[in-house]
Amino acid sequence: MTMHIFANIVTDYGTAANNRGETEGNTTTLQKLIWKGAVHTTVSAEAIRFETRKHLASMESGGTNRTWNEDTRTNDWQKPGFDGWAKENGDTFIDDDLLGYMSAEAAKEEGQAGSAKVRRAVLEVTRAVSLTPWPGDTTFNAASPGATPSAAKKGNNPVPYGAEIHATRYQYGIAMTPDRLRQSDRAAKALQAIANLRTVAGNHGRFLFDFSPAAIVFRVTEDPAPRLLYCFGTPDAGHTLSADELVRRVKSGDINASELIVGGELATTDSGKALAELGADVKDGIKAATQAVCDRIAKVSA
Amino acid sequence: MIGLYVTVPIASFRRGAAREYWETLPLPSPSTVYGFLLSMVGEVDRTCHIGARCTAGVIGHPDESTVLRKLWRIKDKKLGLGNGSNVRPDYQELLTDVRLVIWLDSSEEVTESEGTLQQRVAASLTTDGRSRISRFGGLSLGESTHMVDEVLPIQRAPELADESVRMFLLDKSGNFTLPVWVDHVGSSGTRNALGRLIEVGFEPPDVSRLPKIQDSKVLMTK
Repeated sequence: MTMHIFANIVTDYGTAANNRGETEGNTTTLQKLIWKGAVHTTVSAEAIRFETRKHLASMESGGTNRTWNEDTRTNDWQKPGFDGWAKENGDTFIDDDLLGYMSAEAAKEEGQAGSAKVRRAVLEVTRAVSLTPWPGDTTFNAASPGATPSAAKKGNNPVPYGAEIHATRYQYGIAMTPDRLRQSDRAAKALQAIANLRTVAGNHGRFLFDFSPAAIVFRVTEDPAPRLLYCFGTPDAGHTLSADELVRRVKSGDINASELIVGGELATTDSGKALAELGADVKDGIKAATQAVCDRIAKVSA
Repeated sequence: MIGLYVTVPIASFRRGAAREYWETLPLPSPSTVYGFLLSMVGEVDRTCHIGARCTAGVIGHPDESTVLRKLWRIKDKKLGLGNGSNVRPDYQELLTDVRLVIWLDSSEEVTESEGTLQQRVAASLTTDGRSRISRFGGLSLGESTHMVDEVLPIQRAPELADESVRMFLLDKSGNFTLPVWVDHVGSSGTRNALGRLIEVGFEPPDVSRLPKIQDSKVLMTK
């Protein structure tokens, strides 16, 4: 048998304005996609992985192999050759183990084969999608003359600029097969990092968007299909949560309720109560739910 | 023949020739479907079920969006991975709410050491069968972040009678080619099937019209 850990996560309600270096005129835009027929804002899986790596670095005394250097605006590497992976008992970094790596070298001469060092990520993350459609909210602001070296270099006029913003929650999913890790205790560390995720999406200091879970649904199972991705909905524009589709799938027999551990805001909702009645382990807190999953992993691994 | 109902909330089925702009195909190619089925049953040897026939059909019309992705590439080796010109933003087309029908037939498979792919997939859909499978990784169609959410035998799929399905089926006078085998080192070993997207229902298609998984070595020995 193989144990898989799946989770669907939804953040708290907040105001997102993710600056990702793209503008339309002087307005910073949000990344968007069509979701269930309406425009929703989205945050890439890579952005979530970036913040997860930062959190993993703070959890390990040896840090991570790759760290983002805020001063030089470049990635710093401890072992860019991924040396430890060549030996069975070699020293490896937690971020390489969980998030994978790829270092491809082209052939040096015509006719020769190139080489590649590749490790598939064990912790897989999906794109985050806003729980509610984007209504088109944009703020217009003005930087006063001389506020920054780049604003109003000449004259005394303020510099107007805009930012697309979205008051919403974001939901995304993860998958992990703990057996595939070089060090098994890293599975629990990965879940702790996700449970304590911080600033994935945000525009400088003005729009801090907390990406820690407000509610989380774990599934510990042998089933290769998660059957819970993007399962959160909202009956009232994002203020409260529901998971009607998840309840339906448990009732239909596609998900065994005993495989589910639910934590956070969903616990007190009708969906949370229904899941508890069906046999899911429902906790009030995110930390308690995460710990319950870590305990299950430890029990199976023992 | 076995039929599956598969949902992928967000997907991108990249065209083989796409470079800076990552266009998506309307549905996964037979080679992608084959890889997905191998992953589902925990098979890491992709030559294990040569001769299997498989294809996908897309239900309805998924929404299409374009997003900006930051991608790594090596333009300047001195700069290091992910720095300076070794990173650039590229556009990628995404499909959302992708629902697929997948058909698989193993009657022409070459090796059957652990059972045919059809038998193994059928077993993986049962509680007892999947407990005997050793596999790893999130189940995905295309990129690893584009995770599959649900896989059901087609008989257990939700009521689909009113939906249209566009399925890739072989057709000698077709207007669409999709790979049945991808050469990941060069492109000389990549093999394509000529076919057409055809509006069909939820009945199993004619087996002879399902693309056959064949690698270049098999073709050369024939």
